[in-house]
Amino acid sequence: MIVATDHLSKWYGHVSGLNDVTVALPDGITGLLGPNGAGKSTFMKVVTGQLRPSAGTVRVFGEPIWGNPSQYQRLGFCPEQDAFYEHMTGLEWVAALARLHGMEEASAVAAARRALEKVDLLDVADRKIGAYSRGMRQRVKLAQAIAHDPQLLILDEPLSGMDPIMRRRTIRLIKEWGGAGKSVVVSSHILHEIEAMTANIVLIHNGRIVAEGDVHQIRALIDEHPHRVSIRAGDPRALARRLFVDDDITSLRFEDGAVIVETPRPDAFYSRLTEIAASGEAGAIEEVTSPDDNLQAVFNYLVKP
Amino acid sequence: MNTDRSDRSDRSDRSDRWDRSPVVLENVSVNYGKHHALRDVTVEIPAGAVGLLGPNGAGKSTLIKALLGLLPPASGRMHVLGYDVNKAPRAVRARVGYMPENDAHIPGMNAVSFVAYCGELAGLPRADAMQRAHEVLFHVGLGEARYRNVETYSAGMKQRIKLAQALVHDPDLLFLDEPTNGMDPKGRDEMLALVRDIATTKAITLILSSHLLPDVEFACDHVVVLHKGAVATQGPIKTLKGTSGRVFELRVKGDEARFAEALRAEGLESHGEIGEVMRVFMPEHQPPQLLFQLAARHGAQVRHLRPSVPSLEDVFARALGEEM
Amino acid sequence: MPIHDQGYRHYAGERALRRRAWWVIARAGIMERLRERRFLGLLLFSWSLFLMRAVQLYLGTTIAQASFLAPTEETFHQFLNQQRIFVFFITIYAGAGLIANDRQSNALQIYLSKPITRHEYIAGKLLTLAAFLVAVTWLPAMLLLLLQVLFSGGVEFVSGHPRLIPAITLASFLQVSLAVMTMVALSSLSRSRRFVSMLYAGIVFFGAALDGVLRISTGNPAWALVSPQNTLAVVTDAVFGNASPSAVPVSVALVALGVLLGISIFILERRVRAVEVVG
Repeated sequence: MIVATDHLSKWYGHVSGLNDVTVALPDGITGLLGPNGAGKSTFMKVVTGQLRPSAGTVRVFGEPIWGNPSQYQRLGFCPEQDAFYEHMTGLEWVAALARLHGMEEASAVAAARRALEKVDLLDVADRKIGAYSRGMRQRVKLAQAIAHDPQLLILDEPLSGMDPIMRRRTIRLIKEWGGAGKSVVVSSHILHEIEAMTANIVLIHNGRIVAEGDVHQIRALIDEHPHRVSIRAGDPRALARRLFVDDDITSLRFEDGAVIVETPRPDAFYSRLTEIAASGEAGAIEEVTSPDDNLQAVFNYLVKP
Repeated sequence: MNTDRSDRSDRSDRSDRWDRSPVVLENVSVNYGKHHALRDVTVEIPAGAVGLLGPNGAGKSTLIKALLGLLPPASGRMHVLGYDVNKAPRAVRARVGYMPENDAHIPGMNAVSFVAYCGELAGLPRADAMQRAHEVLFHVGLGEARYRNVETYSAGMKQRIKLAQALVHDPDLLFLDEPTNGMDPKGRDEMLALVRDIATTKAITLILSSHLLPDVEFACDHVVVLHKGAVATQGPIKTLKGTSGRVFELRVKGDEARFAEALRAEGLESHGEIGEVMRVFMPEHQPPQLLFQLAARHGAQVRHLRPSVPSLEDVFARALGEEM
Repeated sequence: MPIHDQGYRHYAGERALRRRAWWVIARAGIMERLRERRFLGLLLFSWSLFLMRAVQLYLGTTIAQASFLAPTEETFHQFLNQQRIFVFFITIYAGAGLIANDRQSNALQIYLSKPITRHEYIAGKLLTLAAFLVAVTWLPAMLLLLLQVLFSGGVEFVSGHPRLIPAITLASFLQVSLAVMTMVALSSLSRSRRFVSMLYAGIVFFGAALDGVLRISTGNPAWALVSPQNTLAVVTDAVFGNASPSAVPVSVALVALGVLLGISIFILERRVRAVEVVG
């Protein structure tokens, strides 16, 4: 477990940021989700050692992180805020931050170059940050997070301001890092992009952990919301007649030429559906999708307003 | 004074270009000093919901500024809602609403005063502006918070109020720049639903500029893609995406190894990991029933099956000549 | 229809074709300030001298033994000069944030995407401050004149000094214009109201101090041109027929003021620009 918290709480005066959070983040890529104000930024700041826990412990790489600067070298943080020394060039800034992480001058510059190349900023590395566009500023933030080759990356809305091509590239980059043995904690509101990176999530709401683990497993466990399955068939009515026969669906309706059912027992239902489709007894089955077996649904169901 | 009609045919103060598209550009070039931000752009933006896409620096914000009459073109003509932008920029702005990307508000006002003020600036009489402000704030979901100072608003509320001030004077055309900026997933859904509703049921043409392609796909029917100051591609989203080939998205659960073997034995080409969504290439005229049969016979359930359709991302990438 | 549509409705009412935006902006700015009790207090306090003068006038015109208190043209000239301190404070309080606050909250993007021109925007801001300044210069001065007429029971004083009304008007106009143009121009330079206040105060005090020092050390009255306040004073003196022969010639002072106004206009033209609108 790369990050482990135990009854972690953080409050600011009366305002509660995190409330008795006990969670263990595995290696690899973890998505950190939650509504605005839920405590994601607080969590990230505590994990990167910028905030001291009010109660409980935080261990990163097995050791407490607060006041433990030797551990900072193994962390890379890309914050959400946009704040730079505008008069520095991209290369100067990333190299300076790499040096702050303990690298020697020459290797810091080389590492900065490598990092800038990874985020496709090498050709503008010698331009002042003040002249960068929004997407470039975001990318240079990422570059400083990876320059010192940290073991754990904490990224807060890393894709904001980026155009679609760069978003795709960055998602691929993050998956590469995960694949190369680094761990990444990514926070974002754009759920389908988190889904593209990882199936492992932590959902925070009101300063507490609401869910953690594999998205599909979480979904399967949310019993109050039976699985919704949408089936596009050549003869929807025939299919409906056939489905009604057994008792593994709780509701069935027609919408736009598809049959939408709700089932509390997805396993049994899908087996039956596969058989029906294979035999062709209810006509041709063209599409089977589950509109709510995804992160958006998990989010909606678990985050009560 | 307020009307439920969405029919707008009684415009006598317009040139007869009204029957054409709401936004027409003819050979428009705009320069920022030496930088050619827009090069000889000719495009007609249809009524309805149109997405404006493009990488950073492609000219999207320049285009919007030019259409608002804030940036005179070096050459070419622009017509918005029948008005020539160069000759009547204020008439254009009186009929157009703009929702900026960045946080923007008038300091020292509460929500209602702010929106009413914007209505007055757009030419509405004071009492009408106040009344419209209340209505529009309810419509965007800020009814309860409308007497609060805008500076105390959360990120989602700030986005909504920007939309409200763009709608207060009942524009015929709305520019939205990253409308879901900074909003959490619930807020994004609500905003996109609002946007879609405005475009489809209220007969207001929408130009939505965003980097989030799924937002654009949900809310818009057409897209215009800009690249390096020129139009790279444009058209209805459905047409641009094209028809599906014989590729299917497939996810199975159960005895996955056995199923993978069966696929191979059947000679079907597939990409992706078993247990996740794969892409399977089916021979021409082969219905997907075969996949169900293979699953049923080899101990697997079909959990997801859908003809694979190119996404808007693919359209975008293709337009830019990029590898995704 | 028994069930009414609760959703968005279209607007078929009147839309102004006459340009009124400058008035809408000015009114909003004025109301915003008047809601603040501290500012109302400042305005009221700015009329304290008026009250004292009113008493003086009353005594001077109605009580024979106090005829030394009777007004002359100089009385009004002095009154306007004394109001300068209030003009200074009100200019800073009500003026520093006029454009600076809008820059801070990115309001220009909202304003300039409406059917108004940037000139209307600037005019609205100028008018907001001008309204308050006129209310503590021209208005009380004219009221004092009116009181004089009322207390003395006749218009002899006014008809005997035909230059007075135009002089009050011109002097007030110059003072208000100078303050308003320079303050609003400075306000457009920054996002921080506090910084603008300090800048304005700095120019006023530093100019006056520099003028004082240099005039004493070189004996040359032309140094008054370094201080906007003192340059204005030269013109005001001339307007009231009280020009000091040793002072800088009025024409030169006017040119200096013109230059200051010109610089302010130039700054405003550059800083309030439509290109700032779309991010």
